[in-house]
Amino acid sequence: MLSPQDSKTVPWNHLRPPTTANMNHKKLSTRLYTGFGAIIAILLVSGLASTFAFDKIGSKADEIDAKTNKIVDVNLETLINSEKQAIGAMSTLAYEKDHLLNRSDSNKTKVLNNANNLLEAIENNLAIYKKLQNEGYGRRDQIKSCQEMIGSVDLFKKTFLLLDKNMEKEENLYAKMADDGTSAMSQIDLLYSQKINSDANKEEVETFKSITNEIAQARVNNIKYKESQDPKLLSSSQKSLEMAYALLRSLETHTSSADERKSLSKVQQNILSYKKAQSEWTSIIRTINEENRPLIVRLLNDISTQALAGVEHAEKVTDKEVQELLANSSSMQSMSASMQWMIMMTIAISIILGSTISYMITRSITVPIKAISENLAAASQQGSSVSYQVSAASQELAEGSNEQAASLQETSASLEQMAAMTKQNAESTRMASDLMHDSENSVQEVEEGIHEMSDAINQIKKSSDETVKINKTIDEIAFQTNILALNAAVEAARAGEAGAGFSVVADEVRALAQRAAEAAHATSSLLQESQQRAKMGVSITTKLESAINKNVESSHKIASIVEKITEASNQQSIGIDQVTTALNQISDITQRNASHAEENASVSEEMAGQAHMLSDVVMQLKSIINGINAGQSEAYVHMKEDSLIDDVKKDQHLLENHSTNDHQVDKKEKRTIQIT
Amino acid sequence: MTKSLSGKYITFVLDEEEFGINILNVQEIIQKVKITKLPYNEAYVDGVINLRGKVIPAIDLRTKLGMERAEINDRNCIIIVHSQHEGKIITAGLRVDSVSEVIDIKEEEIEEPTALIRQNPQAKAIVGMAKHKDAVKPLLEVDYLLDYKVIESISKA
Repeated sequence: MLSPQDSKTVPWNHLRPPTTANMNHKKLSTRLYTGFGAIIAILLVSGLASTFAFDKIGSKADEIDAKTNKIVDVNLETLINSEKQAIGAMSTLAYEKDHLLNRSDSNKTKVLNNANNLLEAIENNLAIYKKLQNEGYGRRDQIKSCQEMIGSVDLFKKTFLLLDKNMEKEENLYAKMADDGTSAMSQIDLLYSQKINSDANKEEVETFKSITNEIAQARVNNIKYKESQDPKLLSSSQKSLEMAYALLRSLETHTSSADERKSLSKVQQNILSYKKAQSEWTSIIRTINEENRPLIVRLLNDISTQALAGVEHAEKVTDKEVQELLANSSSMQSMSASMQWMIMMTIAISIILGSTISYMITRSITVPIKAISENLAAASQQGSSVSYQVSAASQELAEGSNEQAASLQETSASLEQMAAMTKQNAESTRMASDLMHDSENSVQEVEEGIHEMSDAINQIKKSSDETVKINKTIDEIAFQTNILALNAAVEAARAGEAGAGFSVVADEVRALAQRAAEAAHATSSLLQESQQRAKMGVSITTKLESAINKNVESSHKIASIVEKITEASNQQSIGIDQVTTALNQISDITQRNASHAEENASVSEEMAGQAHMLSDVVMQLKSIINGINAGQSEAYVHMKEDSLIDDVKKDQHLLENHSTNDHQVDKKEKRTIQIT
Repeated sequence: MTKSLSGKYITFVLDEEEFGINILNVQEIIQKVKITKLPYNEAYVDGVINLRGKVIPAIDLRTKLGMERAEINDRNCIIIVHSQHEGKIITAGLRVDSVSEVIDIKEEEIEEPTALIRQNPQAKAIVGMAKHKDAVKPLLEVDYLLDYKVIESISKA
């Protein structure tokens, strides 16, 4: 037998792993995922923060951009408009010159169109400048300049139209002058040719020539005057005309021909009208040259200068806009600075959080694993001790099997006895049941007899009751007769002597009444007796009946009990059969126990081997966790385990012997059961 | 003994004891007659009865003699008695348990009532003891039984 001197049962408690917060309650993979997930989340947050920051900066930049663009656009627009103005002014100028040279509706239209374009451009700018002024960007100078330009252009247009009209008038007058001149000249030519063909006075001819010359001169001078505006030419032309007129007058006076006179007066008319026209023409020319044109030129100059100035203005940006732009840029700078700060903070927090989480998770993994490896070391030790315990248990098992066999024998013997008893029981029960049936039948008859008896007695009772009634009546009569007799006696006594005989009669009557009463009395007592007897008879009958009922009841009960006994006997035999089967089973189990004991022995050997392997694995684990050197301390444990394994092997042999004994016991059991 | 008590007596039963009353005092014996109860001060008066048109008081003899009162039942008889008082005849009915017979009592069979009986005022009515057939029967005197005043008042009520 082994002694447990080598088994050290290491208590488990002091090796329990320390709990690091609640993290140890979750799966390892969950924790790792959680850790990495947390770090990713932190990264995400940092990224998002940066994105957010840049987004903000971007939007701010956009804002500034938009504002700058707005400013630029506005200024660009004004610039474009100013350039349009400049161009408009230039083209107006050019076309006006064209118009001056060649007055036509198309030129006029061109001038007006350009002037209108110019006006439109100015008005656009004015609108813009007014808007800017309202928004606080100062554009007062520009507004003023635009308004001035508008004034100039309007005035220009008016003046131009006036000029145009005047020029038209001038042309018309000039044409009239031409007409008049031409017709005068043609008339004169005609007359001259006539004069030459006829014999005319040389003087006349000369006069005619002179007239023609004068007129021609005048016309030439006019033409020259139109170009040079020289007043000398004008006066000379006028002089020429006057000369011509005078000559004509002189001719007219000298002429005899009425036709001639008519023609001459016509020429005179022509010349007069020419003169009139001419004077008008000169005044118009003057107006044109001294009023309209200078004004136009001045206006055009002003417009041009203003337009150019406008262009310059458009390119200027006011202080306010500059300030705004500067402010925007500075706000941009501050915002980017704050965003930078935010991002740095986020990064710092991320670093701190990340390192904390990674530290916590690493600890939560390594610490338990360390503890577990230590637990495993202890477990492998336990394994060895348990192997010993198993072998001891197998021994006990063998002993138990022996005892089992012995008790099985005893049980089968008692079973046999029980079976015999049960058979006897069944027999007796059957007999009892038969007797029961017989007794039931006789009881029936008795019951019937009793019923008849009871009926007879009731009849007796009835008749005796009636007799009693009759007797009572007789008694009543006797009593009253007595009273009567007494009364008679009283009367007789009253009557004295005379009533003596009557009193005797009364006495006799009384005596009779007495006798009747006595007889009634006797009858009544007899009747009473008979009633008593009858009552007794009834009560006896009732007693009999109840006794018989009880009898019946008890026989029923007996019958049911007998049934139950039969039932029980049956159950008993079934039970005995079951017990027999159970005993067989037990014997099988006993056999199996023996074989199991053998298995146990081999299993405990395996267990020892496994414990060995387990401690090897633990050494490996420890070396992983702590480094190679840590594994060497387990060598001692191995040694101990080996010695235990040898002990277990010894146990095995003992167990095998026991199990063969068990087999023999089992066989004996089976034989005994079969016998019973 | 101022008066001789011999003569015929009607015997009746009161509480299983037989008493006797002189037949000459007895008018008649009636039975099964209705007693009309009236509220009286005197306890021994049962009430009144109608005897052929006459109203006669009914006296419970048991109570009168100081015995326990018995309820009125069918066997009860009423003995109609009369006595003289100052020349007038007064009639009353005495209710008794039952009436037995008429007996003839001779002088020598009568004895004086014992001193004990005489001391009891209620037993005033017992005037003698008659020995008859091995039994002693007290003889009652009707005069002592009937209280004139009471009877009168009852009759007239």
